[in-house]
Amino acid sequence: MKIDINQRILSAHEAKTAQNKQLLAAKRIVTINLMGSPGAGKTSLLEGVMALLRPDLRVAVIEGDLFTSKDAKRVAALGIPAVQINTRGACHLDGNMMEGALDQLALDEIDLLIIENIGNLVCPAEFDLGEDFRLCLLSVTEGEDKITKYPLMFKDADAVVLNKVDLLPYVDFGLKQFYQDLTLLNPQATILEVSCRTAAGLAELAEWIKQCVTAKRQELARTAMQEKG
Amino acid sequence: MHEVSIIQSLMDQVERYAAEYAMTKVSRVVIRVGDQTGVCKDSLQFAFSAISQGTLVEGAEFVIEHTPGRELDLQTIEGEQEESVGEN
Repeated sequence: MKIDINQRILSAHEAKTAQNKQLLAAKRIVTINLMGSPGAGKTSLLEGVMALLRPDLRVAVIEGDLFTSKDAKRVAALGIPAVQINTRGACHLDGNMMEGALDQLALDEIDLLIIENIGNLVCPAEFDLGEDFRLCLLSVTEGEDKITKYPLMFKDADAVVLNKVDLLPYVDFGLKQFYQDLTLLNPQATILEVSCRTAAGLAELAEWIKQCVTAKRQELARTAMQEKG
Repeated sequence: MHEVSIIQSLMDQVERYAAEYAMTKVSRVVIRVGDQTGVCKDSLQFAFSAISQGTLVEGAEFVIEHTPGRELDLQTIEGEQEESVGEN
């Protein structure tokens, strides 16, 4: 016998993600999915930008790594609630893992949740975590060709942040090509240059994040008004 | 790498439907994979044969149909039903 099914293979993950998204919206939490290669500086970026966000926002972080809780410890050292997810080999975070992590956070005390995804330019792009914004981090030591080599990652990004720009004089990073390829692939993306080492550009990044929070809150308020009638 | 988790989800789905229709053996599974998904077909094939071992899906023909978009769908499954349930 033959059964016609015609259903998304990841429907279980997608259903879980929809549920997480609903919970986050109900708690008025704005979420950012931070993605990039291992070593691009995702955790350093969080460390750098946190001091600029904290006066205005209550931030929490979910850290995804294959093994160890090193990153969660780095974030927790700043006094920020941090939950570590260890995927034990899996290359991305999914809806189930997110649900487990959300369970461990005091959701009523959070304005902004940043999810630091597994260091990987391929797989995390495929798994929507119910985030409101996608922030992709690339560092100059990786090369500008990553934009065209891993288009899926950069195509849906709301912002692409170029890190380690203090090293530009020492590496063969084609900055012009980077801008050209990225604007062609994703004309809507905000592009920011930063150096977590010198703190250059971090204020602009913090500003972008705050704008995201404001935009999402306005959207939530609009939806609430519409629901009221 | 994430092909393994995709096949894991697929296998859960197939086994659920096979149980619902009282199938004793699954002989063919057809999925659709869009070109924009960034999923590697060879890895899907490999993961399918590895993960289906020891299940009622083991040895089933695994067909991957190509589409241009972002589809990642289970299309059809074929198999044998328990005799008492079939024939109608």
